[in-house]
Amino acid sequence: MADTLKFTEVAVPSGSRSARTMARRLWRLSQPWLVLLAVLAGWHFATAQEWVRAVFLPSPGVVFATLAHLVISGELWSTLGTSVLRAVLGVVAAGIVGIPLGFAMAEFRVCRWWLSPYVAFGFPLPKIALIPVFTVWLGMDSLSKIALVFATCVFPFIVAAESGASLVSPKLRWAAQSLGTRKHALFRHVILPATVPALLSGVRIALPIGLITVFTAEMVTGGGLGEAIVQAQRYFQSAQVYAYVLVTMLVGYLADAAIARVQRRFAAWAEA
Amino acid sequence: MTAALALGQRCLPAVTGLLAVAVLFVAWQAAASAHWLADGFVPSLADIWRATRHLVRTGEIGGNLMTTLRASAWGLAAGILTGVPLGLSMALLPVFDRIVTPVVRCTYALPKTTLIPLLVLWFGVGGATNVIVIAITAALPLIVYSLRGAREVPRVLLWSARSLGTSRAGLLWRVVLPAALPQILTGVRVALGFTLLVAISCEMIVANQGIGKLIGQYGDQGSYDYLFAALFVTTVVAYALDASLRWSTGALLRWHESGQRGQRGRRHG
Repeated sequence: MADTLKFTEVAVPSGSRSARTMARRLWRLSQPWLVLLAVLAGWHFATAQEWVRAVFLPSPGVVFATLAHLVISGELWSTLGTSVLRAVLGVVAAGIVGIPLGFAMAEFRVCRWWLSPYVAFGFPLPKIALIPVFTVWLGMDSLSKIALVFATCVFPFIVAAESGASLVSPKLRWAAQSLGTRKHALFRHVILPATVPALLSGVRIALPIGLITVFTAEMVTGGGLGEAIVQAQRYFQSAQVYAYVLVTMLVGYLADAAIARVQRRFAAWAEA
Repeated sequence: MTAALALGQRCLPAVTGLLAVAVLFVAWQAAASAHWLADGFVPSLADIWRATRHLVRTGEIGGNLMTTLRASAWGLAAGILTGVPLGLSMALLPVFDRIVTPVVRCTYALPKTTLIPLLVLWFGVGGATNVIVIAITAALPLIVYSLRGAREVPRVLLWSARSLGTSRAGLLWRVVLPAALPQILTGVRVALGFTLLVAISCEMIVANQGIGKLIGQYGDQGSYDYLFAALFVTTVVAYALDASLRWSTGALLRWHESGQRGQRGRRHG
């Protein structure tokens, strides 16, 4: 077990070296797909042998057929579009408000003193429990859900910007200041770039929370994919439930992969 | 004179903080009692306080809070017991890592509450469904943080332990685990935040008790003073849990030389 902790890639036998490395690389790359295939095969086998009832676990064929139907009929796009748009608007609004607040808290002591109690109690506040309140204030439609996503995601943004900016090495500041950099230039050229990795980590934390919030709110008060999933479960259309869960998994995965890409592009120099 | 001034300087943040909270409360009370907002939308602080006392006296909040916390504790414990070993073994066995990573990446980004309708099909409405969703939610950050922690263990430590004749199991238990502990504890803190969020979400969607259910019920009835009372109690409990975790993390990591790195990790969480 612990052998792999030593350096294993030391000696490479000569001869068909390139063919071997090729084969090894191919084997490595195929492993995740093999896992996927194994899961699908096991799933198919379990349903074909009728180990579980179709209500609990429909066969993969049925689930993918249902998914295809949802895609082709356009049913999926309208519900999914609604949910994703709400999540994105909420997260963007949270970023627009939260990031400047975080910077202000890092740069100005007065801001930190005044805002930190709100952050200290607003952060642990389970915002999801505000669903009934927001519904009363802003209605059952999109606005209350966007506001809820905003309320949930604004704190991770504030904390990310604040901690990121306050961790900027003082040496960088001193160096820039001793070269005569003005205050706003200091922010633009030193503090902001140095905080980018923390901000992107903040986005990566905020986005899944935003998605959870949207789907949960929709499950409780209706609308979008959240409602569709609950409806499907209520009428025991399990294939649809599985199809929708796969869709939400894919959405979350794509969103995370996109941010990871941005991180590699713009914050590759910082440790991940 | 200077001493008094220094004391004043030190107390200033705390004083301003209290003042900030006081301003919010005064504004809230003023808005409620002057009827600036439509009646009932924002209950007055006095009403919320009365509702809180009533909820505490009848034991309604205690019982439901216990339900929520019990589900969270079981879920978090299950998440720690599966996530940490999984993350550590992923760091030690590259093959295992390559097999598990795609699964982890897919489930990591999955909005876990959408699993609830699915799990209701399997386990029905009630405790098991919620605990499983919470456990899945808690396990994933723990896998990621333990993996990262175990990967960052300095090779020198491993080599020295090996050369001193430590067995492989001993290596895992006495070197890798302690060295990865700061990261694992950061993972626990992240997981705790998600745990409460998901626990309350579950209860709002499917449950017959718990804080989430209580809040949803008061929302439906339009008793917003009770709703805010439950919300405030939950916030205080969540804050206390996080604070006690932070405190015990500090106590557990007192031996750790890179206390600063731990500090940074905690702030990010």
